[in-house]
Amino acid sequence: MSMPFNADEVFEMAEQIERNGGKFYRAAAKKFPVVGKVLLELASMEDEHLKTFADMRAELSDTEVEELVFDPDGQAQMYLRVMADGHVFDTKADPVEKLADKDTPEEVLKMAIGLEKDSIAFYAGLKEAVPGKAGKDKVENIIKEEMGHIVILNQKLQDLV
Amino acid sequence: MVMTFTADEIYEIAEQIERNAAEFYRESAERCPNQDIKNMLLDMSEAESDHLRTFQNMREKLTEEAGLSIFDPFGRSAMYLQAIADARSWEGRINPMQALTGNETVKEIIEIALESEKEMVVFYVGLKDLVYFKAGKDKVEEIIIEELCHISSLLKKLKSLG
Repeated sequence: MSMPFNADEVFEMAEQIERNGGKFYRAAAKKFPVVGKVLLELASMEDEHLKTFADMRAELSDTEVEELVFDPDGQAQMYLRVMADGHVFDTKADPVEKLADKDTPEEVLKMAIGLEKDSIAFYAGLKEAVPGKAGKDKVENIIKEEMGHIVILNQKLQDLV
Repeated sequence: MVMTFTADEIYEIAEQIERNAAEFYRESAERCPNQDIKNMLLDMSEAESDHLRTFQNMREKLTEEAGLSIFDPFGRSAMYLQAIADARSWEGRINPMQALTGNETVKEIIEIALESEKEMVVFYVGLKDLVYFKAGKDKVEEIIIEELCHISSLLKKLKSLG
């Protein structure tokens, strides 16, 4: 995949993470109806995050689109680049394929927790790179909601055990 | 789910995470045949020891302020930290040393370190929410940024190894 060198590409990456998240949860809900309701709720939340990132991307000025994200030391950009290079996030891979070797609801819930953790780790870097308090607050809110997803998934996992 | 964490315990977990990470990096460096990667691992061990001292200072301050340093009216952050602990079956502690057999390749050591660093970030994101005073939040934020830098370095090394 291309490296996210500028704000537009970074937000595109975030959108793709959320798009894949929604797709993953919907496919998982279909495969495991016993946990289907909660997974569909999580899918809807990822859709909302997608809209938030799409709005933030649309609000970028022409200058901001082309410029690097605010990152005087280059650390956040470097972090986002390496996170996006396919080892942690392969946004081109079909998230539904990840379900192929998952045979139980427990396995899919554990996998979902892992994916949510990866998202939080990516957004923690994104927050550092986003200029302005308003932008940082939006990313922070999404991080908090992803944290909430982990709590929901863990509760469901405990219920199944 | 039973909420078992107190503020003191959460800081204790953070201290243990850093103690284990520093030990993991030191041990890994000793076993690493590549001098460049050995130096990186030793630098990371030193950084984790600094983080340990930061959390120890914060925990001492917590005692002085009689618990006022924690603010979690709805218990959401505590639930999150509990979920992270449950998900790992680590009883609230990251211990990457448990994953080492002594026969790992450099690539495998970096992958273990990478997973541990991600665990630290997701734990500290929750911890930051619990810290009431701004100076404390800023310290946790600084540690999160340093762990993100560790992830960058590890991923770059991993890529260079092919």
